Amino acid sequence: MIVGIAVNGLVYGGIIAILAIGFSLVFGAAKILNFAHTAFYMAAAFTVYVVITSLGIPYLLAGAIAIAVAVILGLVCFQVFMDRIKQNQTAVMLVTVGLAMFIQEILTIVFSSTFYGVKPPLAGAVEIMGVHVSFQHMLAFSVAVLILYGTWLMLTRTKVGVAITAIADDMEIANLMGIDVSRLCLIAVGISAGLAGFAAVAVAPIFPIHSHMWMDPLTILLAAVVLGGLESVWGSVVGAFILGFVETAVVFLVPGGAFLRGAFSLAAMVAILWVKPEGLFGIVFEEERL
Amino acid sequence: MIKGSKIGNRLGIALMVLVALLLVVVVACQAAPASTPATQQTTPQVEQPKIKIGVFGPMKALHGPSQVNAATIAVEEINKAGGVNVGGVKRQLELVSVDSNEWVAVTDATAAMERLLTVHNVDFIIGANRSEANIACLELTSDAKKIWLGTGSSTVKPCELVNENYDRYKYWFKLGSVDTMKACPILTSGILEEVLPKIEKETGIKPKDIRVAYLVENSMWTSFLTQVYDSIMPKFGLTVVGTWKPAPNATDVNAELTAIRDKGAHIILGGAGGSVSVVIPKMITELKIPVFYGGISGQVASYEHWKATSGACEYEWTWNMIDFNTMPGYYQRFGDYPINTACTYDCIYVIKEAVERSGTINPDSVVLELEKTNFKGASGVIQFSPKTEKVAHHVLFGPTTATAYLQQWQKGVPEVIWPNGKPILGDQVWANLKSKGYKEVQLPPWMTSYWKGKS
Repeated sequence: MIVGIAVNGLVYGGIIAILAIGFSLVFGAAKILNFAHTAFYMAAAFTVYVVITSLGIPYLLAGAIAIAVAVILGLVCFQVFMDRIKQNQTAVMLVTVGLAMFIQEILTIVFSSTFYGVKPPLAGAVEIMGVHVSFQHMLAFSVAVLILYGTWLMLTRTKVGVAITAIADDMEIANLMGIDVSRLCLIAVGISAGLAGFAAVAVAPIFPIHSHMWMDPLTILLAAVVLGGLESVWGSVVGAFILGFVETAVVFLVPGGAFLRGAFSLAAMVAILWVKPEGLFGIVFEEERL
Repeated sequence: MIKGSKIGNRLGIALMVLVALLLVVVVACQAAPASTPATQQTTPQVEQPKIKIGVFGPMKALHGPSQVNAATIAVEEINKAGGVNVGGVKRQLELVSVDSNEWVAVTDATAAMERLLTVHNVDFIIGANRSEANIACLELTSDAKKIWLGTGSSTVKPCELVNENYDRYKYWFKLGSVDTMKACPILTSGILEEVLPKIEKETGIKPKDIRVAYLVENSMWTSFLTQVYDSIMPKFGLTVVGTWKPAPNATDVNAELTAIRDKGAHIILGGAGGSVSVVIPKMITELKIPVFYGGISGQVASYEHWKATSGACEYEWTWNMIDFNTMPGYYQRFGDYPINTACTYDCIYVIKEAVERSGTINPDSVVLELEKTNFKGASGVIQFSPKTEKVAHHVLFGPTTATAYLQQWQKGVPEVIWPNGKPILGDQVWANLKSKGYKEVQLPPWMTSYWKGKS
């Protein structure tokens, strides 16, 4: 049982981590609580479905197209709706929720509420210490690890990344230092939407695709971001894995209460925040992160 | 008072009176029947007003289109044969559909029903999927005295209202789905009667050694399912190893399936209608969980489910009110197989026969004839429970009435695997019933190869 919890928790946590990274990045850098983040993920998932089933395009190329769609959608939404009001976090929150619902309704009109699916490019499963895990889950986990590493590299080793980090630390000082805050916020949003697209490409063959799929992961990724500490990319990843393990443990230990996995993971988040209100890696005083 | 405001008030009043007059004229024009000179009524060339049947369902989900498609087939058949004989006059049928959007908002459903009743002014209504929407809209149709044949919602509350207040609610009839409280034990027994000998034949495992796991989504409608399963397992001597209840929108059931596999289950009895209904068969096939899986889930019989799982639902079984073999050409025409709500096909014919027997479309007269319905259709023989029953105007379930069917995905086709002409727990009444398209149940090959020689 322990092995089952460990392996399944790792895989599930990795999938949540993909989504949490992008959300945390845009909030940390641009101070935007983008509730439409999972709507971009949903749009990318539908793009994968349409491109593969209607055009017969191979999975990798379909994935690239889906990521591009998510980035364009994110950038357009930011420029048109969020940029003017980004100083008001409450307004941004409300507008992005509205955006997400708008995208949902458009997709419902076009695709109806039916469930869709994409054939996994990697069929089959592997046995790890007696636990069977599908190749597609392993791929999703591998993508999560690569994305995490790539994001860390970008934020610490590139000019753009360092500038984004500077903005996250102190937007005013960064502006005074000559950093084009607006342009870099736009870049951060684009990267965040691209990460949502990556998540969609990784999980489209695993999760059912439907016009309400943006709602389900939003709660858990918000919990992961808060648990890890707002504005901390590393924190959101750790938070995602913690919640992933908690949810998996609930299923193994309380089979009849598997539907409570979400409640248990949120309870774990509350418990940790009670001890450490700023989150696991959140800052109380101004100090370096990452 | 200022002079200007006096003039403004008079103008305003004049405008209101004008608008009111216009409204009266418009309503009067709508209400006035088209006058038909008496001499023309006997001339065959005069087109009789069509009988309008409203199809009420969620058109953005699977259920709505299935309702419309099946009803369209019935309407076309009847119109091609000349139409409905209403007191010696043949009248054609016309379908009007509205999107109830009931799965998202009950208020949308009531608005859609209002449109059917006032804008489209239909003569009959068929449809209903969500219980909450069904109950809310029943008040509207009862106020309007419109006959409504239900096709999908599981609640029996409307039928109980027929018994409690017959004069008001008598226009309601529940043709679909069958009473799940009565049907589920029979269907569960039916699948076990079909599959247990197959498992013994292909793996050598005897029924007394079979282990069963329940994997049902955590919803109100599944709460009774596990009770039904629990009542049936002892009759077959089966061992239950556990119950797993993922959320209806769960996107991963890896942990559940791993746990079920660890428990050594041979059979998973399920029940899911949310997105988890797509996830479960996908993961069972991906992970090659050595189980025979299936359960009560209406949309599993749809080809959309096959596509959503990318064919991974092969070997999954489910139930359906409709034997798709009774609607040949349905898949070729609509690209899908009929699901439960396709019982609108029977609704149309039931209405037709009741109208023809009563000689009028007057709802009070037609109700009396609907109560005498005895129609052999795609769902079986349609009869309704009498008004004196606590659950009145409900389609009867049984071997000589509406039966429901079990289907299993085999090579991309939801083949009917029950009724199979065998008795249920020794009860011979079911042994006379066999679907004309019956195919023997199949076990997943990875299941048979895993369990062969083991227990």
